[in-house]
Amino acid sequence: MKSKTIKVDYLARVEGEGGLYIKTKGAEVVETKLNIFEPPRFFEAFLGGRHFSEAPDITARICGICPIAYQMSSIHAMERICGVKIDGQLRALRRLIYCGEWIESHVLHIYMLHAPDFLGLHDAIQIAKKHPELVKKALRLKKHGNDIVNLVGGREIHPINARVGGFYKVPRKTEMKGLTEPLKWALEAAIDTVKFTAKLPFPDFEQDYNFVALRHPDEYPFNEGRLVSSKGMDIDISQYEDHFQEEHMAHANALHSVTKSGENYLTGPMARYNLNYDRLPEVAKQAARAVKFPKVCRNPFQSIVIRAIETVFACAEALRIIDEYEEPDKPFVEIEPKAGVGYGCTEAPRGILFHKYRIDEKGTIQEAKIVPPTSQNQRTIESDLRHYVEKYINLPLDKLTWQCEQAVRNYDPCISCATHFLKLKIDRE
Amino acid sequence: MTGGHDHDGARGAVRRAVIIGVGNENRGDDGIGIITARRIRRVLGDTIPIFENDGDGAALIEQWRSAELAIVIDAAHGGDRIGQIKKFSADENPLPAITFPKGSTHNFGLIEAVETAQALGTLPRKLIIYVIEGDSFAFGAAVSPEVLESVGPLIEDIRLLLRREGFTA
Repeated sequence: MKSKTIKVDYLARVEGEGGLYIKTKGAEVVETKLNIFEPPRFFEAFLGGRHFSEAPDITARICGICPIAYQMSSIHAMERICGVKIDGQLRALRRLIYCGEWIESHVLHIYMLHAPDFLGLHDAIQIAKKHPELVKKALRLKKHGNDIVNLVGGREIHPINARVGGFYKVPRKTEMKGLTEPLKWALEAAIDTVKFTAKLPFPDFEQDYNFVALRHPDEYPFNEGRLVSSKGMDIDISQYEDHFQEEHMAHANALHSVTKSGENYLTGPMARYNLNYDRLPEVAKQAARAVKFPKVCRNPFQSIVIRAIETVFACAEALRIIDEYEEPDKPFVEIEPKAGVGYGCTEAPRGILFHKYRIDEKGTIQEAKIVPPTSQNQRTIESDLRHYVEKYINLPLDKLTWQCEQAVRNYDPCISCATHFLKLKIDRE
Repeated sequence: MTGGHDHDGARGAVRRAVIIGVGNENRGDDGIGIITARRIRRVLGDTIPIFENDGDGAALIEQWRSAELAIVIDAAHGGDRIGQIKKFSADENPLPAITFPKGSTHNFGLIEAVETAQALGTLPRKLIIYVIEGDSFAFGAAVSPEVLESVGPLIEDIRLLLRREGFTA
């Protein structure tokens, strides 16, 4: 029986270092491995012995793309241990800074990393040459996300202003109002982005995923909610470890997260959207309806449209928060440490980011566990590739190889978080 | 998201020239662009906007937007003598083959930013890129002494450039 090897030594436009190996025998895919060789970075180990108040700033260093997610998950875990719940304007500011991170991350991925695949172009430079106005719009839209993070987070790279209990400093009302007009432009640009992405050509490829996301009683989820799945799971985040486990695979420096019964699941924009469509503001629903985008999507290649819809949401939500903003009397609530175990789970741009900490009565971290979204999606990425190659086995090798890379980029994987470039190798025997 | 950070308090001022240090200060010699930018700030004060950038090309395009002169400082990892300074202009065609250490956001780093800005017509009138050859780019590594020794001469060259171009007295 004829076997084939498809090999791409360097898969660009993903964050981190990894590789992909696919081996086929006839029409059957016999092996699919997402190899992650980015070295482990031991963040969980060196959190041990540090003060609970240091966790947000230490964990923010895990990722340059989604530091807010790390700050928010660690902060909520610590506050949960100490029995404190933050609400009012401080809570709203946390949602606002998350809006900024989603806008930055989603826009970068949509236009600079994922769109080239659909347009048959190799990179953002080619898009800039062919569609300069598109890239100018993307850069401007992304900048408005950066501006939110800069204002609320203190700076754009590894923000420093979030802390357990709130913020070190809160923005002035006049500073917040300065974001309004740019964000009104951003909202329109995001709606245009939905229209642009919806017209892209998508391969026919749907899968029966187990979607997992946060769900909040009233809001499209950022920081709070129960963990729910499309297969009926509905749990408090403290029960996460009762339902999910991590497995070490020889080919990856990142642990694979699976359900307790060993099944893969999917987290991220597609899961969030499918499980929380009803929580989207009307403007985002309208943007989806205008392009006849369904309320439930199972084609991972269409995740680019969902990122655009979520960008509409993030712009609208940011405008709402800014409009209702009143400067709080104090930027933070003083929190005394208590011995205990606590959990934080928030919606990073790529999906749920779970943190667990155990601290002692002095607030010293005794144990830390961090499960990033890319670890949780790894098994599903491998599954997608297996099924995709099976379905399109007869495609010319170069086209199949490109589409396999594209299938990985559907997930905007952040390998740096999970343990940074991806190599793809497909063996066809 | 990765990006840049205006440290100089000159936000809102007319940006006729900008200096951007690129790199990751947690990865040994990769931090030399950031270190150099901070030292230049001590020399020049608030007269020139000085940014730090962790390798995000999209943020770079924004940081040098509308500048007449942009000076970018980064580390290189191409097998030259450790600490060697190379200087080139973004309008050189083709751009010299500089090997940068990994760490740009999704592989959209300095060179991609230059090429994209060229395509968009948003390059500064003059964009000068300095690179210092590094040795160790491991997480948590110290900056190599040879690399640190190059910072002084590099700053002197940048001061001369700014004076020659009429941005400082």
